[in-house]
Amino acid sequence: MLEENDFILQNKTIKIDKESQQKIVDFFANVKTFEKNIKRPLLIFYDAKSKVFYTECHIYTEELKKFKDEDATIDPDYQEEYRLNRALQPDNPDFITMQEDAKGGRQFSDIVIEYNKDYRENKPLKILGGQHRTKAIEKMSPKHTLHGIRVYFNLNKDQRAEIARISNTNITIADDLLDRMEEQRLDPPNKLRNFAQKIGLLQKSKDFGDRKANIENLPTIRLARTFIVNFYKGKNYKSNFDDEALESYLCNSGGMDQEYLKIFRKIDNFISEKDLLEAGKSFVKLHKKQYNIASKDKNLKRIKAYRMKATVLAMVSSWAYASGLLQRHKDRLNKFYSLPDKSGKNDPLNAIQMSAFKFKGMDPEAYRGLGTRSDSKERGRLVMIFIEYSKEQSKDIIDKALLERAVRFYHANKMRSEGDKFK
Amino acid sequence: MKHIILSDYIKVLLNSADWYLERINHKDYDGIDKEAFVVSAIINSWSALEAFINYIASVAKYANRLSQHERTFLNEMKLRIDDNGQFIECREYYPTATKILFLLNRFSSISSKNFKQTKLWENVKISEDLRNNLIHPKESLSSASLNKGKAKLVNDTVKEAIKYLNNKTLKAKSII
Repeated sequence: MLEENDFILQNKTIKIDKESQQKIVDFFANVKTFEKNIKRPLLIFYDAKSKVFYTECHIYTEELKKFKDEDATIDPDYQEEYRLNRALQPDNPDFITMQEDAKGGRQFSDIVIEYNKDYRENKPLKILGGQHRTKAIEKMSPKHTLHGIRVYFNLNKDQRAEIARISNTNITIADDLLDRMEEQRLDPPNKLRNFAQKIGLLQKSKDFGDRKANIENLPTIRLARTFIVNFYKGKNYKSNFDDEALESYLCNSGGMDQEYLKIFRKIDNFISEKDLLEAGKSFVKLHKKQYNIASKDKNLKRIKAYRMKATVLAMVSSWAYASGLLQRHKDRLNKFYSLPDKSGKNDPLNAIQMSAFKFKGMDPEAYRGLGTRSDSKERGRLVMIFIEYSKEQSKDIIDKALLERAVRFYHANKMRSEGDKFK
Repeated sequence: MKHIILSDYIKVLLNSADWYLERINHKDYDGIDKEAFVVSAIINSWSALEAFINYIASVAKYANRLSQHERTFLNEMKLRIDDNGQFIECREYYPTATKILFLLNRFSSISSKNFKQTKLWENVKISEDLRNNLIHPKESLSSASLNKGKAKLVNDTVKEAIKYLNNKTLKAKSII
C-alpha cells in the first residue's frame, strides 16, 4: 500500500484504483528516482481526460539506460512486435545537436514513459514520447546526469494511444520565430531592428514577424538579413558583373545564417552605413510604390502577391544584390533606385508581366512566372533583370522585352560560365 | 501569321517520328508503306535533334564573352576574308554531330574528347550516317537501312541525345 510519506496525491478526494496503486508501489521500489534518494515523496497526479495516474520525477542517466525500452507498443497483447515510435532519425540535425548537448551534460525533461512489466519485464520504462532524447542520453549523457521523466501507470490500449499521441504532437515553431529568437540573442542588441525601422521597413516600436504570412505583413528577420547579406555580396564583387550569370543569396532560416553572422560581426552599426541605408530606403520606396499601385489598380488589386511583389525573398535578395553591384556605377545606380519614380502610374515591378512570363522550352508548364519561386535560377534571372534595367539604353520601365532579354542573357551566360569553368 | 515556337516544334517532330515508328510492323502495312514509315521515322527523329540543337544555340548566342567565331558558328555563319581583305560573315551549315561537340565543349562541363568515348556518340554517328543516306541518296540505297531496328536506333538515340544535351547545357526541365 502507498505510504503517506512516500507519495502525495494531487487531490485526496480522488480514489486511486488498486492496480494503479500496485504499479506505483512497484515503480517506487524498483527504480531509483532522485526524489527517493533525497527522501522526498513522489507527487502522483491524475489526468482527468485520460483517467490515468502519473508522476513527474527525475532519474539518472544510468538508471534510465538500465530500464528503458524504446520499442514500446500500443497493444502489447496482440501487437507486441509493432513499436509505436517512429523510426529513429540518426542524421537529423536536431538529433545530432541533442547528442552534443547530452555530452555536455544537458538535463532533458518530460520524457514520457509508461511503467509496464507486462512485456520485456526487465525493461519496464516503456518510452511513449521522447525517443530521440532518450537515445541521445543513452549514447552521450554522463551517467550521473539527472533527467526529468513523466511516468504513467496502468494504461489500457486506448489510454496508451492517447498519451503517445499527445506526447508526439508538436506545433511546429516557425523558422521565422527561431530566427527572431536568435537575432535577439546577438550583441549589440537591436542592430537589425534599428536598421529596419530606420529605412521604414518596420514601423517604430514594431518587431519582425514571427512567420512569413502574418496579418500585419511584417517583414521577417530572414528578409532583412537576406537584404543586408546580398547588398554586401554585390558590393564586394570585383569582376565585370554584366558578363556573368550571378545569383543572389538566400539566408537560411530556422536560427542563424553564417553569412549574415560574418557581416553582423564586421559592421559595427548598420544604420551608420550610408550606402546600405540608401539602398534600404530605396528598396522600401519601391515596395511602397508597388504596394500602393497594386492596392488600387483594378487589375492588380485582386491578387495579394502583386502588392507584395517586392518583398518576395527572390526579389529582395536579387534587388539588394543588384544595388550592391551597382555601387561602383553611380549613374546606373541612380536609374535603378529611381525605378519607382520612372514607372509613373504603373506598378514598378510590372507584376502582371512578370507573372505571365514563361521561357518556352526552358520553363515547365507549371511555372508561375518571375518572382514566384526562390530557387537559384529564379534569383539569377531577377538579378539580370535589374542589371539590364540599370543600363542607360534600357527603357525606364520594366517591360516584357526587358524580361525576355534579361532572362536569355542569364541563361546564355550561365551556360557559357559552366563551359568556362571546366575548360 | 502565327509562328510555331522551336521548342514546340521539337515535340511535333518527335510525336510524328513515334507515330511512324509504331506503324512499321503493323499488319495493315507492308512493302513500300513499311519503308516509307522507316524513312519518315528516321528523318523526323533526326530533325527533332537538329531543332533541339538549334534551340540550344538560340539561347547560347546571347552569352557575353563569346569570340566572333563562336558567335558566327551559333548563327550558322562563318567568317571569310573577302577580296578587299575584310572579314565578312557568310552562310555555313555545319553537321549536327559537329554542333553537338561544339555545344558540349563550350557550354557544359563535358569535354568533346570525353563525349567521343561514349556509346551515345557512337550511336549519334551511326544515326547521322543512316539519315544522310536517306536524305542524300546515292545510286543504290541499301535496304539494310530500311528496317524497324534502324529506325528505332535513330529514334532512341535522338531522344537520349536531347535529354543528355538538355541536362548538360540548358539544365531545363526536359522537353521530352
